[in-house]
Amino acid sequence: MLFSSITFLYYYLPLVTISYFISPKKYKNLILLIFSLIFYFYGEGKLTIILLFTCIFNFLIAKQIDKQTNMKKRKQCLIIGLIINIGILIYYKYTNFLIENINNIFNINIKYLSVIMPLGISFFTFQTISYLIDVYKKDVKASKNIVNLSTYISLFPQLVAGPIVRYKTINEELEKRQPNIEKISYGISRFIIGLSKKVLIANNLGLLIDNLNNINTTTLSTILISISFTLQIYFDFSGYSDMAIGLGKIFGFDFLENFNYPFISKSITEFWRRWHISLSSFFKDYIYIPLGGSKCSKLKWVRNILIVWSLTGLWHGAQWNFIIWGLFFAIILLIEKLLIKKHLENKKILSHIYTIVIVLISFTIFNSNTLNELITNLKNITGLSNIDLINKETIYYLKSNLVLLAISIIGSTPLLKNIYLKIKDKKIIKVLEVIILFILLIIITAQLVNSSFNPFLYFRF
Amino acid sequence: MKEKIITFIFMSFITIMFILGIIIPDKEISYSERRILSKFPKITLKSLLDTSFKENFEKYTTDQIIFRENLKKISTNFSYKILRNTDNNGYFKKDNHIFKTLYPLNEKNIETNINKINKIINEKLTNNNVYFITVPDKNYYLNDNTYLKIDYDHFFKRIKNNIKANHIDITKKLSLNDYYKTDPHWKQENLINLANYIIKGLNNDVQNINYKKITIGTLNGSYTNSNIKTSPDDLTYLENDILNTAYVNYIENNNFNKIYNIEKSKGIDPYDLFLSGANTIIEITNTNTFNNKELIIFRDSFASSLAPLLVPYYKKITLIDTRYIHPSLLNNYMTFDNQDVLFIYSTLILNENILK
Repeated sequence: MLFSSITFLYYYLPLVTISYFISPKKYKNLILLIFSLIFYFYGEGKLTIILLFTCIFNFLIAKQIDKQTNMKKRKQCLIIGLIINIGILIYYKYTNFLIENINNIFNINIKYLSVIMPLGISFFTFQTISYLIDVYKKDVKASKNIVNLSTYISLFPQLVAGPIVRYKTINEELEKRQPNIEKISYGISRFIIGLSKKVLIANNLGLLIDNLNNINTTTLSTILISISFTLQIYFDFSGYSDMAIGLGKIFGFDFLENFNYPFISKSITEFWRRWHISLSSFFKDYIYIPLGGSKCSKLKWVRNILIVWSLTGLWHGAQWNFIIWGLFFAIILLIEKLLIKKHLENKKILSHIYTIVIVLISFTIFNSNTLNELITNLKNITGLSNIDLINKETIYYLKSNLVLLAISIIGSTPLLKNIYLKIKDKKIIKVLEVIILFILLIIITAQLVNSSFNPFLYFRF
Repeated sequence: MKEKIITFIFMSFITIMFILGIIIPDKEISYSERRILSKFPKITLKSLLDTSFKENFEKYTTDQIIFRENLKKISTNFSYKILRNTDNNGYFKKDNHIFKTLYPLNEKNIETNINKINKIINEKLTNNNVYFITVPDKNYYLNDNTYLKIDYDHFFKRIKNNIKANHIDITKKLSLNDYYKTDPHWKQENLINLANYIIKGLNNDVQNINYKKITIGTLNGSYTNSNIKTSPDDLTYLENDILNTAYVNYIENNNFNKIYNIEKSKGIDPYDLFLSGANTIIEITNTNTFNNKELIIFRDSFASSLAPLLVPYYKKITLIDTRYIHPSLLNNYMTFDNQDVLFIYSTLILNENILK
């Protein structure tokens, strides 16, 4: 089920909130679990069995890890847990990619498996991996309540598009949380803002990209597609995270932030501290640091960076462009750390421009389905191919979407937030805030009714 | 206080929408979109497991939401007035007309259509006089460079140079006012001179035929779906004794009817007044003529309102819509011998790949 749908807004959400708030405290997690499973079953049908298995298996294996006093046995249990979780992820997400590459390399013809990837598998698998490792490291106790743990794994706000929530962040809230009107109201506001980012901005940027893809390609149209796609994925993804964080607040959970205005970064290192924070911190804590991080020889450090970033790329989808995308960032990060760190710190404007250019190139890689498409796109964007610089169609779509692009660019900076923080205590602003939120909700509903264009970008994640 | 108000308004709003969604009876038809709205889907174990229930339920909830028409208007206003889009899903308003952008020109589809039409001509029409008319859609008459417009000169040249027929150029015989403001089609009451011009092009002598204009209501056409406000045109048809006594035979089901189907004009698509709308093969028989001339028209919907004006010159006119029947099946229904054959297709259809 999409958050950005009439079904979710006016059928699922009223039912889950009413059921949740009228139910006694001890049943609240059970209510959330039942509704989360309904949420998943509605969209994924029989694949819900994978989610159910994940919940039960991880509950049992974590208990085993916790129970063992012998370190060797603890480790064995952890390894079994990791193999099963990662095995399921590889089977559903990467098997056909592996077959395709084996076929290409050895010129053979292994048949593809007929598997459908369960939605959100990368998110909930990473959550369970973090849970098992944290239990193993004794950062957190294994859950004694299968309902609570299953609620954590399948909690609908973050189930299909993240953020990747760690058990230790919310385990206390799973046990005990107080309803709080400030939190609920903040959650509602955050949810509506996230929904606006997705429906009013990201979807319209997606339409612009579709239109630009249908006209004769020019250098300007390729640059516009690149800018629009970068903005679309930011508004879509951060919008989803806002909705997840907002919904979490409504039900009393505090998820960590996932985006923090990444486009104001002055380096790619900073960009990744602000973009999809839950994923980069997962890789940092569970792969990069265990591999030795930066506290090892330079060669090993380079190896660690390359491993982490190729895995980051691969996490986004079973395609080569994602691996190249990850490695591209690895190379840029190495260059930054080894060669240009000081220059970036000294030249602020130049470092902003540099970061934006690298990010735009990176999302051109991300958005290319094949290697050929990638080469063509990069040639087009740099003006190296034999295409026109501009044509009347490009100008038409640019003119028609100038306001949208301006709103998107301004909205991707903290400008509006800073203004709001300065004036939010004024009475008139409080009244306006309520009115604006309600108007946004009406316009979002109207857009959902009127436009069938409502893509879900995370089906490959 | 603000927190309480936000929570109260949001929770009340989604709950009220939920309750209204359940208690308000479902609507059957959306007249503005000219389609039947989705119904509550059947719940079966299979539909739940294979998620087909989800697909249908999503359509249902979006189709049956309360205040749907108003919400669609709000969405259109958001696109125009807030985002300042030049068009909304391709629709825009100019000179009180609603237009739908026809862009880009699809060379591949045009090529496919040329090949399909030439195949019919080569295989079936070796003994016939074959004529071709490309009907310009109303974007052709749009006089504003703000909007995207295909290269019509190139379009017409491609058709003329590649389809083996006698081409009748009608572009200079029409203007924007000859089209409905809220629909892509042309107005029959404005087509008398055009019909005479075509009759001449088909090597007939033009006669002085009188028609009576009958207005039966207004035409809120298919572009009403865009939610752009404009005053709709009258729905008018032309009649005389010849047309009143002619009868129409719908070959596939062997039903008979009149040229104008008044009942259909009150339905989802009022333009269906003319020859009852889309049909595979129909024959119009003129009972008031002593000549034995026959005309076969391969056509799209533009011909529905034009064909009645050609009836006085022929004993029988057969209209074939190859969007709904493969040309290889036509020999089951008719024989091609020495009839005049007219292909009449709009640029809207020729730029698509929907002919069989």
